[in-house]
Amino acid sequence: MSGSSIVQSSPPTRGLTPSRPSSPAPRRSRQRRELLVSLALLAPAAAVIVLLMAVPLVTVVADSFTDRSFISPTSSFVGFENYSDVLTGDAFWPTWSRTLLWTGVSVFFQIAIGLAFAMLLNQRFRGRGGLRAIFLLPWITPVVVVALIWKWMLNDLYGIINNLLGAVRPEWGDLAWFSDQSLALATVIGVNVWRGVPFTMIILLAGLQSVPGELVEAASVDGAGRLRTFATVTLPHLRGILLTVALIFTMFNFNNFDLIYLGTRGGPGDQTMILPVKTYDVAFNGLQVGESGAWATLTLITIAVIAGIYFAYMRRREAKH
Amino acid sequence: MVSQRKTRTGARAALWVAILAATIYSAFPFYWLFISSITDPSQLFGGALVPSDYTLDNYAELFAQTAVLTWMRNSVVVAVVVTVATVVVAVMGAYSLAFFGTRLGQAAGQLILFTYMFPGVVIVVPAYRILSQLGLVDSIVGIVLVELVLTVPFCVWMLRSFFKEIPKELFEAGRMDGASHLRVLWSIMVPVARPGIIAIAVFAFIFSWNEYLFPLVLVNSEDGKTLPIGVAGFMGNLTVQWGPLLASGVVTVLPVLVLFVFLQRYLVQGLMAGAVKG
Repeated sequence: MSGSSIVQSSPPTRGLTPSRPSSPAPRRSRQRRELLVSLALLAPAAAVIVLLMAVPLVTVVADSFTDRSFISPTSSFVGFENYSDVLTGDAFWPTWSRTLLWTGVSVFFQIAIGLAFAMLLNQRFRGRGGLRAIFLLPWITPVVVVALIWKWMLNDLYGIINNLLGAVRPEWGDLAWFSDQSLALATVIGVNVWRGVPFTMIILLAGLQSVPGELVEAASVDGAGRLRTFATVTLPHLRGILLTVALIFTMFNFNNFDLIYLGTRGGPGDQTMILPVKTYDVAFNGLQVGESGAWATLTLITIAVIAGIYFAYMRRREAKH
Repeated sequence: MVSQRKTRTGARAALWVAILAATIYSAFPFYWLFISSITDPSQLFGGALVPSDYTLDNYAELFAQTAVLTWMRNSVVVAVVVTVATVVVAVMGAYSLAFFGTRLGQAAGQLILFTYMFPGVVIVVPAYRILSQLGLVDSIVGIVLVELVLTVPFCVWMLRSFFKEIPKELFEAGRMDGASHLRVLWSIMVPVARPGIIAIAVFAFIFSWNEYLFPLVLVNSEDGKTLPIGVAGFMGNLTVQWGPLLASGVVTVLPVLVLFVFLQRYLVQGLMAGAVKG
């Protein structure tokens, strides 16, 4: 059933007829009605964002200035006490810099491998569609299953990876991937990269497919090799998309809770502890809502600064072009 | 000529080696999860890539000894309700942002990007407090409500880019003919943007099905758990048997895998449309 036939059969008397749209007064009231309708349609989505994002955000910041806890029913204003406790404590700066390290290394490899996969899928070969689907699998997989799969594959005693490594060199066969002090962070970053690659890949593939074919052809007619063409034509074209993907993934990784919580709980020691896991830990294991609020607010400030730098850079770039 | 053909064959070979490596990287972990879950316990720790004895005992044990069916039922209810609510809210919101030409509509893309800045952990602590005051901890309603915050911004953003591809004349023609917005939306936009609506529905379902943090905080009882929380609890249990645990992983990933196999072209189309349009 086509839409237009329904529209034509509707009564012609409704609303203003298009034959006299220029009389000013009814036009204004009509504009106002349109605005009201547009707001009403937007209201449920806006309500979700306001009630579930803005309200909690304000609550968290407000809580950070109190000694609220899950233990006592009352709480009182304590000023910046939580902040001074957190900032002068032993945990904050190592956790903060570890979060940046985890984020930076994850983003770099997610984009590098994602770009390589996208370029692979941008070649012409049989079975490309099926392969694209296979490459996407890690991304649609529940994070709990991601953690389970890798804890099984990287199990120190019976994991397939240690089995294979041990066949090459016996001393490689008993690496404790998730519980060794010096390995754990690299392990969770590796799993995080595996999980993130499909998403960067598909966005970058969309970017690659929007590179004008004539440009690439012209470059190769001019005698530019593949690498040259990539560096002078493809990469500049992708720059905007690359920057956006980098921003989105910086936030995804910086805010990540579930993979580290499921993989290591922040351990061994604090070797994989990052800000969101710490925020959770202080609230739900330490029961200190106020102090957790300070951790959360400091996390938010860091993200806001990163985003601010990004947007300033984008604006300068746009101004240049 | 000969050398040119040689380099072309060489390039072709390199391409297939890269394809093979990338396929192993992406797919082997899934193969290994599945094959391990049906490997006979006597061979489970041997590490043979293709075991010779298979069994379904792990699945039998999983269903007999855990509340996995209850968790699964909870997960299905939550995911279906979140999906339906998200689609309704996102269709209305995206229509408003795409066709009314208000200033908000133009800023919406950035605004929604902005919502990604906030960690779920920041939302969940106050959400837990508010929901416990409302008596909605340990209830499906509470989980559904909070999970909407995961799905709605993303789905509005994506559907808006689908709506933007519809020629504006179609919208104006409908309005000129005197049709109400509801009618334009339902009879013109929804049918035209059907692939986009399927895409956001699949996304909402997958996001909700996979979600770990919100139900982790909002559920206390064994009977209120969703599948990921159940499996995670099972995983944290030190005395657990690997066999049934791996089977529970397969059971958790299977529904989204099936959905994905049938509907992946909508997902890809949705992601790519959003990526280029911004």
